[in-house]
Amino acid sequence: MRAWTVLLAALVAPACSVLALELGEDVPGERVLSFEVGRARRAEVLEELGPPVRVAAHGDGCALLYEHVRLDEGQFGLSFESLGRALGMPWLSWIKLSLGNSDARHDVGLLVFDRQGVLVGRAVGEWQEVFGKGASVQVLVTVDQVVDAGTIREAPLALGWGRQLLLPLPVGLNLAHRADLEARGTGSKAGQRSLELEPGAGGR
Amino acid sequence: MGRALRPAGFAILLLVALAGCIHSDSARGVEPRWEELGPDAFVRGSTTRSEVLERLGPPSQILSLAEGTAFYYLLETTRARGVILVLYNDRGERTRYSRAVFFFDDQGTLTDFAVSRPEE
Repeated sequence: MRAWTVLLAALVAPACSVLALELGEDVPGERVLSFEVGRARRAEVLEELGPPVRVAAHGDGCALLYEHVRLDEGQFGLSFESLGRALGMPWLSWIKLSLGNSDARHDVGLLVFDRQGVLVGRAVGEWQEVFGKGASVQVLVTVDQVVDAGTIREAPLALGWGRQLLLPLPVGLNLAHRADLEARGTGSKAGQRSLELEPGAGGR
Repeated sequence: MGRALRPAGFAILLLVALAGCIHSDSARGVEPRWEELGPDAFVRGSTTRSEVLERLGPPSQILSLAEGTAFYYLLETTRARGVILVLYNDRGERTRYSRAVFFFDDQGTLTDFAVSRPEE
Protein backbone atom coordinates (compact mmCIF):
# COMPACT_ATOMS: atom_id res chain seq x y z
CA MET A 1 0.00 0.00 0.00
CA ARG A 2 2.80 2.33 0.99
CA ALA A 3 4.68 1.57 -2.22
CA TRP A 4 1.63 2.44 -4.28
CA THR A 5 1.18 5.69 -2.36
CA VAL A 6 4.77 6.66 -3.00
CA LEU A 7 4.42 5.70 -6.65
CA LEU A 8 1.23 7.71 -7.06
CA ALA A 9 2.77 10.73 -5.34
CA ALA A 10 5.79 10.56 -7.62
CA LEU A 11 3.57 10.27 -10.67
CA VAL A 12 1.51 13.30 -9.86
CA ALA A 13 4.29 15.37 -8.29
CA PRO A 14 4.22 18.39 -10.54
CA ALA A 15 6.96 20.82 -11.33
CA CYS A 16 6.48 24.26 -12.76
CA SER A 17 8.61 26.81 -14.58
CA VAL A 18 8.09 30.50 -15.05
CA LEU A 19 9.80 32.14 -18.02
CA ALA A 20 9.77 35.87 -18.65
CA LEU A 21 11.08 37.82 -21.60
CA GLU A 22 11.21 41.59 -21.79
CA LEU A 23 12.26 43.63 -24.82
CA GLY A 24 12.87 47.37 -24.76
CA GLU A 25 11.76 50.02 -22.30
CA ASP A 26 8.32 51.30 -21.37
CA VAL A 27 6.62 53.42 -24.02
CA PRO A 28 5.30 56.65 -22.49
CA GLY A 29 1.94 56.61 -24.29
CA GLU A 30 0.64 59.82 -22.75
CA ARG A 31 3.75 61.71 -23.79
CA VAL A 32 3.50 60.36 -27.34
CA LEU A 33 -0.10 61.58 -27.57
CA SER A 34 0.82 64.94 -26.05
CA PHE A 35 2.69 65.98 -29.20
CA GLU A 36 0.45 68.17 -31.33
CA VAL A 37 -0.01 67.10 -34.93
CA GLY A 38 1.00 69.86 -37.37
CA ARG A 39 3.07 71.68 -34.74
CA ALA A 40 5.47 69.33 -32.94
CA ARG A 41 8.83 68.87 -34.62
CA ARG A 42 11.02 65.79 -34.86
CA ALA A 43 13.82 67.42 -32.85
CA GLU A 44 11.41 68.06 -29.98
CA VAL A 45 10.16 64.46 -30.03
CA LEU A 46 13.69 63.01 -30.12
CA GLU A 47 14.73 65.31 -27.30
CA GLU A 48 11.91 64.09 -25.08
CA LEU A 49 11.55 60.41 -26.02
CA GLY A 50 15.13 59.63 -27.07
CA PRO A 51 16.07 57.47 -30.04
CA PRO A 52 13.32 55.17 -31.36
CA VAL A 53 13.60 51.39 -31.46
CA ARG A 54 12.98 51.52 -35.20
CA VAL A 55 13.14 54.25 -37.82
CA ALA A 56 12.07 54.10 -41.45
CA ALA A 57 11.51 56.30 -44.49
CA HIS A 58 7.82 56.98 -44.95
CA GLY A 59 6.63 58.86 -48.01
CA ASP A 60 8.56 62.14 -48.16
CA GLY A 61 9.33 61.98 -44.48
CA CYS A 62 10.04 59.35 -41.89
CA ALA A 63 8.43 57.40 -39.08
CA LEU A 64 9.70 56.55 -35.60
CA LEU A 65 8.55 53.50 -33.65
CA TYR A 66 8.87 53.00 -29.89
CA GLU A 67 8.10 49.51 -28.64
CA HIS A 68 8.05 47.48 -25.45
CA VAL A 69 7.13 43.79 -25.30
CA ARG A 70 6.78 41.54 -22.27
CA LEU A 71 6.23 37.83 -22.68
CA ASP A 72 5.32 35.60 -19.73
CA GLU A 73 5.22 31.85 -20.09
CA GLY A 74 4.13 29.40 -17.45
CA GLN A 75 4.98 25.73 -17.72
CA PHE A 76 3.62 22.75 -15.88
CA GLY A 77 5.67 19.57 -15.96
CA LEU A 78 5.33 15.94 -15.04
CA SER A 79 8.17 13.49 -14.42
CA PHE A 80 7.92 9.78 -15.19
CA GLU A 81 10.85 8.66 -13.06
CA SER A 82 8.91 6.54 -10.57
CA LEU A 83 6.70 5.11 -13.27
CA GLY A 84 9.77 4.04 -15.22
CA ARG A 85 11.22 2.32 -12.17
CA ALA A 86 7.96 0.57 -11.37
CA LEU A 87 7.54 -0.68 -14.92
CA GLY A 88 11.18 -1.65 -15.34
CA MET A 89 11.70 0.99 -18.01
CA PRO A 90 14.45 3.24 -16.58
CA TRP A 91 14.62 5.37 -19.72
CA LEU A 92 11.26 6.85 -18.76
CA SER A 93 13.01 8.69 -15.90
CA TRP A 94 14.72 10.97 -18.40
CA ILE A 95 11.50 12.24 -19.88
CA LYS A 96 9.65 15.32 -18.73
CA LEU A 97 6.30 16.38 -20.13
CA SER A 98 5.73 20.13 -20.28
CA LEU A 99 2.58 22.11 -20.93
CA GLY A 100 3.03 25.82 -21.62
CA ASN A 101 0.87 28.90 -21.86
CA SER A 102 2.24 32.26 -22.94
CA ASP A 103 0.87 35.80 -22.65
CA ALA A 104 2.35 38.80 -24.42
CA ARG A 105 1.89 42.46 -23.63
CA HIS A 106 2.71 45.02 -26.31
CA ASP A 107 3.15 48.78 -25.91
CA VAL A 108 3.76 50.62 -29.15
CA GLY A 109 4.08 54.31 -30.03
CA LEU A 110 4.35 55.48 -33.63
CA LEU A 111 5.10 59.02 -34.86
CA VAL A 112 5.13 60.06 -38.51
CA PHE A 113 6.86 63.21 -39.82
CA ASP A 114 6.81 65.04 -43.14
CA ARG A 115 9.84 66.16 -45.12
CA GLN A 116 10.20 69.30 -42.99
CA GLY A 117 10.28 67.22 -39.81
CA VAL A 118 6.80 68.29 -38.68
CA LEU A 119 4.59 65.71 -36.97
CA VAL A 120 1.76 64.59 -39.27
CA GLY A 121 0.45 61.68 -37.24
CA ARG A 122 0.92 59.71 -34.04
CA ALA A 123 -0.67 56.68 -32.44
CA VAL A 124 -0.32 54.57 -29.34
CA GLY A 125 -1.26 50.93 -28.95
CA GLU A 126 -1.42 48.81 -25.81
CA TRP A 127 -2.73 45.29 -25.94
CA GLN A 128 -2.39 41.94 -24.26
CA GLU A 129 -2.87 38.64 -26.00
CA VAL A 130 -2.59 34.94 -25.44
CA PHE A 131 0.56 34.46 -27.48
CA GLY A 132 0.35 30.72 -27.62
CA LYS A 133 -0.11 27.39 -25.94
CA GLY A 134 2.01 24.31 -26.40
CA ALA A 135 3.27 21.03 -25.08
CA SER A 136 6.64 19.34 -25.22
CA VAL A 137 8.50 16.30 -24.02
CA GLN A 138 11.95 17.26 -22.74
CA VAL A 139 14.83 15.27 -21.34
CA LEU A 140 15.64 15.41 -17.61
CA VAL A 141 15.33 19.08 -16.62
CA THR A 142 15.23 21.42 -19.56
CA VAL A 143 14.05 24.95 -19.04
CA ASP A 144 13.12 26.27 -22.43
CA GLN A 145 10.10 27.85 -24.03
CA VAL A 146 7.33 25.52 -25.12
CA VAL A 147 5.56 28.25 -27.06
CA ASP A 148 7.34 29.45 -30.21
CA ALA A 149 8.32 33.06 -29.57
CA GLY A 150 10.51 33.36 -32.66
CA THR A 151 8.61 36.30 -34.11
CA ILE A 152 9.00 38.21 -30.84
CA ARG A 153 12.68 37.33 -30.42
CA GLU A 154 13.80 38.04 -33.98
CA ALA A 155 16.74 40.43 -34.28
CA PRO A 156 16.02 44.11 -34.94
CA LEU A 157 15.97 44.91 -38.66
CA ALA A 158 18.83 47.36 -38.23
CA LEU A 159 21.18 44.52 -37.26
CA GLY A 160 20.45 42.63 -40.46
CA TRP A 161 20.41 45.59 -42.79
CA GLY A 162 23.49 44.63 -44.89
CA ARG A 163 22.49 40.97 -44.86
CA GLN A 164 19.16 41.86 -46.48
CA LEU A 165 20.99 42.12 -49.81
CA LEU A 166 21.60 38.37 -49.64
CA LEU A 167 18.02 37.33 -48.91
CA PRO A 168 16.23 34.94 -51.30
CA LEU A 169 14.57 36.57 -54.28
CA PRO A 170 10.92 36.66 -53.12
CA VAL A 171 12.03 38.49 -49.98
CA GLY A 172 14.76 40.58 -51.63
CA LEU A 173 12.44 41.85 -54.36
CA ASN A 174 9.93 42.87 -51.74
CA LEU A 175 12.39 44.85 -49.62
CA ALA A 176 11.58 48.17 -51.24
CA HIS A 177 7.96 47.77 -50.15
CA ARG A 178 8.59 46.11 -46.83
CA ALA A 179 7.17 47.80 -43.78
CA ASP A 180 10.32 48.27 -41.68
CA LEU A 181 8.22 49.54 -38.83
CA GLU A 182 6.08 46.50 -38.24
CA ALA A 183 5.64 45.62 -34.58
CA ARG A 184 7.20 42.45 -33.21
CA GLY A 185 5.05 39.40 -33.68
CA THR A 186 3.54 40.56 -36.97
CA GLY A 187 3.01 37.54 -39.19
CA SER A 188 3.63 37.18 -42.92
CA LYS A 189 0.50 35.24 -43.78
CA ALA A 190 -1.44 38.37 -44.76
CA GLY A 191 -0.60 41.88 -45.88
CA GLN A 192 2.37 43.14 -47.86
CA ARG A 193 4.79 40.45 -46.71
CA SER A 194 2.51 37.65 -47.89
CA LEU A 195 4.33 38.16 -51.23
CA GLU A 196 7.28 36.44 -49.55
CA LEU A 197 5.40 33.20 -48.99
CA GLU A 198 6.92 30.24 -50.74
CA PRO A 199 4.98 27.06 -51.55
CA GLY A 200 5.50 24.58 -48.75
CA ALA A 201 7.74 26.93 -46.76
CA GLY A 202 4.99 28.48 -44.71
CA GLY A 203 6.41 31.99 -45.09
CA ARG A 204 9.07 33.72 -43.06
CA MET B 1 13.05 5.67 12.19
CA GLY B 2 16.24 5.59 10.20
CA ARG B 3 14.57 3.56 7.49
CA ALA B 4 11.61 5.95 7.31
CA LEU B 5 13.93 8.90 6.78
CA ARG B 6 15.95 7.20 4.10
CA PRO B 7 13.61 7.82 1.11
CA ALA B 8 12.90 11.38 2.21
CA GLY B 9 16.58 12.10 2.73
CA PHE B 10 17.39 10.61 -0.64
CA ALA B 11 14.70 12.72 -2.31
CA ILE B 12 16.05 15.91 -0.72
CA LEU B 13 19.59 14.99 -1.70
CA LEU B 14 18.44 14.37 -5.27
CA LEU B 15 16.67 17.73 -5.44
CA VAL B 16 19.77 19.53 -4.16
CA ALA B 17 22.02 17.66 -6.57
CA LEU B 18 19.85 18.53 -9.55
CA ALA B 19 19.47 22.20 -8.67
CA GLY B 20 21.18 24.68 -10.95
CA CYS B 21 21.23 28.22 -12.14
CA ILE B 22 21.18 30.16 -15.39
CA HIS B 23 23.40 33.16 -16.01
CA SER B 24 24.07 34.54 -19.45
CA ASP B 25 24.85 37.87 -21.08
CA SER B 26 25.01 38.53 -24.78
CA ALA B 27 25.30 41.54 -27.05
CA ARG B 28 25.01 42.17 -30.76
CA GLY B 29 25.37 45.36 -32.71
CA VAL B 30 27.92 48.15 -32.83
CA GLU B 31 30.10 49.55 -30.06
CA PRO B 32 28.06 52.21 -28.22
CA ARG B 33 30.58 55.05 -28.44
CA TRP B 34 27.71 57.55 -28.21
CA GLU B 35 27.29 56.62 -24.54
CA GLU B 36 30.79 57.87 -23.74
CA LEU B 37 30.58 60.94 -25.98
CA GLY B 38 27.10 62.01 -24.87
CA PRO B 39 24.74 64.39 -26.69
CA ASP B 40 27.06 67.38 -26.25
CA ALA B 41 29.46 65.91 -28.81
CA PHE B 42 26.97 66.65 -31.60
CA VAL B 43 25.54 70.02 -32.66
CA ARG B 44 22.54 70.55 -34.91
CA GLY B 45 23.35 72.66 -37.97
CA SER B 46 27.08 72.26 -37.46
CA THR B 47 28.19 68.64 -37.09
CA THR B 48 28.65 66.91 -40.43
CA ARG B 49 27.93 63.39 -41.62
CA SER B 50 31.65 62.62 -41.93
CA GLU B 51 32.29 63.79 -38.36
CA VAL B 52 29.61 61.43 -37.05
CA LEU B 53 31.13 58.58 -39.04
CA GLU B 54 34.56 59.42 -37.71
CA ARG B 55 33.39 59.45 -34.08
CA LEU B 56 31.00 56.51 -34.10
CA GLY B 57 32.16 54.32 -36.98
CA PRO B 58 29.90 52.57 -39.51
CA PRO B 59 26.20 52.67 -38.55
CA SER B 60 23.94 49.66 -38.16
CA GLN B 61 21.59 51.05 -40.78
CA ILE B 62 21.60 53.88 -43.33
CA LEU B 63 18.28 55.29 -44.40
CA SER B 64 17.75 57.21 -47.59
CA LEU B 65 15.18 59.94 -46.99
CA ALA B 66 13.71 62.59 -49.29
CA GLU B 67 15.35 65.30 -47.14
CA GLY B 68 18.76 63.57 -46.95
CA THR B 69 20.01 60.57 -45.03
CA ALA B 70 19.79 59.10 -41.55
CA PHE B 71 22.27 56.96 -39.63
CA TYR B 72 20.94 54.51 -37.06
CA TYR B 73 23.26 52.87 -34.52
CA LEU B 74 22.08 49.96 -32.39
CA LEU B 75 23.50 47.70 -29.69
CA GLU B 76 21.23 44.97 -28.36
CA THR B 77 22.17 43.49 -24.98
CA THR B 78 20.41 40.54 -23.42
CA ARG B 79 20.75 39.39 -19.83
CA ALA B 80 19.24 36.10 -18.64
CA ARG B 81 19.09 34.91 -15.05
CA GLY B 82 17.34 31.94 -13.55
CA VAL B 83 17.24 29.13 -11.03
CA ILE B 84 16.47 25.47 -11.56
CA LEU B 85 15.11 23.87 -8.41
CA VAL B 86 13.55 20.90 -10.23
CA LEU B 87 10.11 21.36 -8.72
CA TYR B 88 10.15 25.08 -9.41
CA ASN B 89 12.18 26.80 -12.11
CA ASP B 90 12.36 30.48 -12.88
CA ARG B 91 14.06 32.16 -15.83
CA GLY B 92 13.98 35.85 -16.71
CA GLU B 93 15.43 37.44 -19.80
CA ARG B 94 15.72 41.16 -20.41
CA THR B 95 16.79 42.80 -23.65
CA ARG B 96 17.75 46.46 -23.84
CA TYR B 97 18.60 48.59 -26.83
CA SER B 98 21.24 51.28 -26.70
CA ARG B 99 20.81 53.37 -29.81
CA ALA B 100 21.55 56.60 -31.59
CA VAL B 101 19.91 58.19 -34.59
CA PHE B 102 21.21 61.09 -36.72
CA PHE B 103 19.35 62.92 -39.50
CA PHE B 104 21.29 64.88 -42.14
CA ASP B 105 20.11 67.26 -44.86
CA ASP B 106 21.19 66.87 -48.48
CA GLN B 107 24.35 68.88 -47.68
CA GLY B 108 25.35 66.33 -45.05
CA THR B 109 24.74 68.65 -42.09
CA LEU B 110 23.15 67.30 -38.91
CA THR B 111 19.53 68.41 -38.56
CA ASP B 112 18.15 66.20 -35.74
CA PHE B 113 19.61 63.52 -33.49
CA ALA B 114 19.14 61.55 -30.29
CA VAL B 115 21.41 59.21 -28.34
CA SER B 116 20.64 56.73 -25.56
CA ARG B 117 22.13 57.40 -22.17
CA PRO B 118 24.05 54.61 -20.44
CA GLU B 119 21.79 52.38 -18.37
CA GLU B 120 22.21 52.93 -14.64
